[in-house]
Amino acid sequence: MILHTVNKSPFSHSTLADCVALCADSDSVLLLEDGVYGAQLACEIISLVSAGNGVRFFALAADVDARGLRTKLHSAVTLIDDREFVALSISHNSVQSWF
Amino acid sequence: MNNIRKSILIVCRKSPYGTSLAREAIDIALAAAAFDQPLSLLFAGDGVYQLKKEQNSEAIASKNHGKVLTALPLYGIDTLYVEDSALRLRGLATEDLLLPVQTLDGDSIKDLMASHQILINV
Repeated sequence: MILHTVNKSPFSHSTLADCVALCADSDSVLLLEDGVYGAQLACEIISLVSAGNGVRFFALAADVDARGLRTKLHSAVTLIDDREFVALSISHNSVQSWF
Repeated sequence: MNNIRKSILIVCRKSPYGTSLAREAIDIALAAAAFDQPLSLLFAGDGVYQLKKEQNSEAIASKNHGKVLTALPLYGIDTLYVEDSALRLRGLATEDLLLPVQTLDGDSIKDLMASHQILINV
């Protein structure tokens, strides 16, 4: 059970695609910084993955709001704050940073 | 000194906040405009996110990039070009943007680039 963090836009980098390709069903993906562009409805990667298995997606609310994306989010994504980020880090066996 | 002014096209391809590159491209534009240089701005790729409405960067302690862009018309930079396919790929329309823009297809962007003498791609 791993928490994967992704901080690059899926439209400019393959980071998110590379990450989800190696995600187990029990893993979680946290989108942060420019990674939150992956939380958009328009991002096909998240639609494909969230329909197919149990991977959970989270995004940092502060980064979503900075970029004006709150009304564009995919329904599979849960918004969290920094405290919940810490809680997620603790509740998973390890954290892997994709950048 | 020669007085010939060369037209500048700044191609903004970076998203705001993740790095300082988006802000630096706009700083180049504002500086050039302050010296009355003929200037065009094209937002392409992830650069279209710079123009997204409803940016609120308080919680990440960064300057609001959208507000910086609203200074462009004050500097006489009125025509903003946007790569149409980049907008659509990201699920955005011109109504999602905070300034009026002119959308361009790929061929029009080639013409735009060919019509300028100095190209700055950030």
